[in-house]
Amino acid sequence: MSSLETKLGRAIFRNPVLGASGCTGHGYEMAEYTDLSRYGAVSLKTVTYHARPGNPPERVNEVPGGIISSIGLQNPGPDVFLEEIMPKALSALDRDQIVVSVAGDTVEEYVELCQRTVERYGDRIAAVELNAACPNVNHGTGYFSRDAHAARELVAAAKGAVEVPVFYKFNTNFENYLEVATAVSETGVDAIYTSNTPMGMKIDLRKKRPVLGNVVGPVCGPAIRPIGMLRIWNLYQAVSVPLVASGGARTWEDVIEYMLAGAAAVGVGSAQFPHPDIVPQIVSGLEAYVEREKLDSLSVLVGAAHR
Amino acid sequence: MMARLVRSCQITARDTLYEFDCPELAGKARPGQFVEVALGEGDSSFLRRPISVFDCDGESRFSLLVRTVGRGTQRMTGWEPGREVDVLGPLGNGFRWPERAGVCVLVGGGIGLAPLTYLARRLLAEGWKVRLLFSPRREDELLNALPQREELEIRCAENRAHLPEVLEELLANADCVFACGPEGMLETVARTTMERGIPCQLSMERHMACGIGICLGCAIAVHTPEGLTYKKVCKDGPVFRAEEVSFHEQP
Repeated sequence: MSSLETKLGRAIFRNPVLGASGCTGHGYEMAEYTDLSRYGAVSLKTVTYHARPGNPPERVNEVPGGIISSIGLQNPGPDVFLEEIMPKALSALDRDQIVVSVAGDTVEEYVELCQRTVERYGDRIAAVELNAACPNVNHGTGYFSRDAHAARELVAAAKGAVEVPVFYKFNTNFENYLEVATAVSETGVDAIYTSNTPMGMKIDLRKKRPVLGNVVGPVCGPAIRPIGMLRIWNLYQAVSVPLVASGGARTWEDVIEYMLAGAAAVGVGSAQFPHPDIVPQIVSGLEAYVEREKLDSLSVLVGAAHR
Repeated sequence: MMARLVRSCQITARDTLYEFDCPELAGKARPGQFVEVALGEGDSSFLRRPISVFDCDGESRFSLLVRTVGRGTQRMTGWEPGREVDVLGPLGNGFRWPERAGVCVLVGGGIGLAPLTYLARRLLAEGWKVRLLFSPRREDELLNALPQREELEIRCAENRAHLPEVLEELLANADCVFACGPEGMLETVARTTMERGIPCQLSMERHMACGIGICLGCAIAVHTPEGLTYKKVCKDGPVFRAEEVSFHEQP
């Protein structure tokens, strides 16, 4: 067994460094700039039940230690996704590297997206990810991150509907996130993936207006890594399901730190914007680390800071 | 990839020209494309800075004309020759023009002059007659950065009201128009050229995070046969046909 091999429930990945949804395109867009074979997996840009045009510009701006952005889940909907986008993703990534991220307004919409994906590509993907995290949707998805009952119902329905591993990605910025995670963990979900981006704002001094067309948007980048660390730390104590951390990871040291706090794998997001080849660099750093530390497996580090 | 800074030269109080040696990039760059520049160690900026290619010899050297607008570009002004700079590019789709040479008009608003210089070089080399309409808000000495000044027919428009007037004159028997600058100016150029049925391309600008089409941050509203939709300035542009760009209406 390779020392970086990572198990998230029934899913097995070549390493614990994952391209986070919304920050990695559909994999194929990155092929020219990075070595995709070095990714543990890529969570593709979320596909929603209905096509979404996305939010009005401007959509991104730099803030200290990261960016503020408001994309608005822009995507062409399931028909184009399944017909045109998936074949390109399949040509760029291996079966064990593809996680399909879906979102809807109701449990039924999530389930139908999972079913359509699995009917067509079930034997060619590693998992589906239920995106209950995107902070830009005014109704629907936020609900499945903050209502424990709705979250459990959603995950249980998706798990019952498809054979592939199911990840639950949720926003930990609600006070009851541990209660929500606990409820979801009772469904036998394969992994709980955190999104920790708090909402923020930036104002243009010259125009005297908010810089974002949507006025507000989530803040991501290294600035929020300590927030993500605490959330993973607390989640590790609350649930025994494999956890995937995200929030500001951009070096191999960040990945190790998240693992020590309790993460089994780490999603790399906005760090890929300035450095599209950063994931292979992180993975090389992890390989050198296990060699240096003479570890049989990185997994022995998961939650080690609690002991 | 790494590009070595060969020289830098201050053009105006707030504009600096940086010349780099980087055959890998210079050999590929086309007019209208841009690069993403990392500000490097010692700088706390998270993102690269997208900057259009100002000039290029097609073999080893390219240059960037950079306006100092914030801390990142301020830091660049301290760069010494010999510095190795991490650049990504060339990125995006550049300008396109007919094979048969004719008469063209370039319209640059302020630092929007930057991507038009390399374009002028290529058009002149292919036998085009090139007219330049420059609309400086303050710094008309920005024109000093132009290497082909003598070969161009240059007109300046001092203000917003004057620009359409001069543009009308320059459009006489023009085959195509290329413009870059503030959106208000681009809208005027788009409207004027469309009324006259002269093909026009606009180099658009948005804040960008990645520059390679993965973040969907640099959205621009564009008319397509299927209706109004968002496209990416970094990957689908930054150059768009004038009739494609929706200046006000959003999807």
